[in-house]
Amino acid sequence: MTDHRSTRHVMLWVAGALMPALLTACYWFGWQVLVQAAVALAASVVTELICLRLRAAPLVALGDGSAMVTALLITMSLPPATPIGVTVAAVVLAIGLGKHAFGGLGQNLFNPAMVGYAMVLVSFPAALAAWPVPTDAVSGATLLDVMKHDQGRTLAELRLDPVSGGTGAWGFEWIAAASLAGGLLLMAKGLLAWRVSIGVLVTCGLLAITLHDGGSTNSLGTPVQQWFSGGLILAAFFVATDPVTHPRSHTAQWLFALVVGSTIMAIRGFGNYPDGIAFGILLGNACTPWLDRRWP
Amino acid sequence: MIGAIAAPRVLGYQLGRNSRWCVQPGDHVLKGSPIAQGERWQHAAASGVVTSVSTLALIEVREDQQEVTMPPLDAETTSARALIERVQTAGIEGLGGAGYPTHLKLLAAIRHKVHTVVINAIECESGINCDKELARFHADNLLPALTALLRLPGIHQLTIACSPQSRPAITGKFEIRELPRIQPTDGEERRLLRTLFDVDIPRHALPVQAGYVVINLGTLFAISEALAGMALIRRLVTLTDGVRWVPIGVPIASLVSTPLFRSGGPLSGVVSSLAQNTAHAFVNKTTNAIFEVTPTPAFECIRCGRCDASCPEHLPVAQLLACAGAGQVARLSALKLESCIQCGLCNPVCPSHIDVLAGLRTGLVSLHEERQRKVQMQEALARSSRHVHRLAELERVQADRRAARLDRLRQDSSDD
Repeated sequence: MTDHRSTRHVMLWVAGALMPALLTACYWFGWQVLVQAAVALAASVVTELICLRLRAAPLVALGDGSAMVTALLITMSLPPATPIGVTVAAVVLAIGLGKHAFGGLGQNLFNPAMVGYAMVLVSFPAALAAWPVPTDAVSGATLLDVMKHDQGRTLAELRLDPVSGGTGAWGFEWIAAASLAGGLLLMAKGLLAWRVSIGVLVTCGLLAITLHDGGSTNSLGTPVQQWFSGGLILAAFFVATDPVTHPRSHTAQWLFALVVGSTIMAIRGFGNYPDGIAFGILLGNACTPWLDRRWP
Repeated sequence: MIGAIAAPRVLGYQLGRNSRWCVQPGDHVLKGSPIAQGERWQHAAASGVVTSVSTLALIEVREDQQEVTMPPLDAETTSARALIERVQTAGIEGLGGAGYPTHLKLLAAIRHKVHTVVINAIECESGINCDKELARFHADNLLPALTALLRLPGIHQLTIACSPQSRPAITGKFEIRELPRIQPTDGEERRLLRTLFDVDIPRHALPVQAGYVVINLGTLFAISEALAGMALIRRLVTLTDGVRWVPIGVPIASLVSTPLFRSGGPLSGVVSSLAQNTAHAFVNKTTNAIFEVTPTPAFECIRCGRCDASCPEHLPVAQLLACAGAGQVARLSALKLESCIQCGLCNPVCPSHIDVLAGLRTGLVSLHEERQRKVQMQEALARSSRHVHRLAELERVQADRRAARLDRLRQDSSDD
């Protein structure tokens, strides 16, 4: 009677669907990505174990696989050269503060991975801006930084800069494509709320069109550049769709996506941080209880 | 033929509402003799000695299987009053699972001038096959009850609703409506009436108020047996190895070998443990299935929303489950938990193996308690306001008397 799509199965599928993106990141950014993943996974298991013991919860919950997904999402969010200590801190904060402090899986108000990521992002801004670049330098500004701060060049000139790839940002565009493939797979399997993913991408796209001024020196880029920069597609399919922290009804899901997408674009366009994914999702999460209540 | 389970050494009976035991510890009872009377009669399913009587009556079964029967009633000539009295004294309740006393249902049907009797043989829970077996092996025995029901005042239509598997091979002054593809909620009486007659009966109304009375096929068979003089002392129960006649009162421990069992179908059944001494420890008149259960460890709810998608009433199940767990009764009723038909479709879809239906049932119980508390509070308020009125009245009467006395005194003094 019981079908085989258990919680553990869902988490394994999500982790599996993340693999193309992880391997693509490895191809573009180097083997450190795998080290980061290994560290994050180890830290997640240990944190999960300790927290379950502290809460006197059955250790069988370790098998639900949610800690693994959190660790992989943090790996994908952090630059490959992030100091190990920062990675561990992100994972510990994510699972300890983001999940177990709220009462464990299902009770958390915010997406654990984004809690951990946002906390290290505001604590170690320099370390988390150190993305690999296509030039000789070890790390530097990504396309999103350049579009926001380097206001001397038109979009056409920017396209010739190595930080621009074929369609979006160098490297990131391929990770985004791999995330898209994984996300579409999950969507086809019915394992994620497609309204959330599509809603976030459509919101960002529409706002990018609104903010796009044709490619002047102040341009914020085209919708395609916005989609294929940073981790937007990854976030739309793997983070915003965390079922625990998005609302249930269809109306509420569209509105949730609107909040997430517009916050991301507001920060990308006018904020101090190059990217606003974590803050967008956390703000959306914060609206979820109200959305659920208003549109049950 | 349908196999029968023999009565084990002990039988147990739970006292029904508005009823009292009519036996004492030490009494010898014969098979078929009444042990409880009132709204819900009960009868010993085997001869033996009553060993204890409290909310639970226990009977130690003895060898002699002498049987007590009532004089048979002729279905062609019986009066409505005699039929209803027989249904009551034979202890017949709704055997589909709700367990509502059938004589009360028939009385309500007459009071509301019901025109149509529907026999519900849909049995939509996959895995329960009592009605199907009954229709297959005992179709002829249904006729006396059908004849008698058609003699109730005001009834001019009788419809048997069945699935292809539960179609009884009988003909008479009734129609048989076969529903081709049975969905897991088709047997719920409001849904069934919607399918059959296109009538919408709101949640707070009863089918009798709309002119319909719905009777389960097993109950119909029990009425036939009652007309022949036999009290309701056995029922069909779907067990792991098939459908059997099981004496009412059999300890469930003698039917299963696992410590956990499910009473009812795979979807809407209630899982209990033999270790808990619950009301579910013995087969009663509403036990339609007993299955062995191997426990699956449940994870936390991840709010995936599959239960919401599965709900035929379009309820926000995940939210209801959370509110039921937190005891937020006001929210439960705001989200319309009372329209839950307890079909259990939300259970198999849960990826965390949570017994969602059990959670919703806790919520339904707290809703019910809350409603009763409100009624009691209103009654108390009414009592207190009546009391205040009485006091005021008393005060007024006494004041009048005082005034009259003063008047008299004044008159007396002026007369002097």
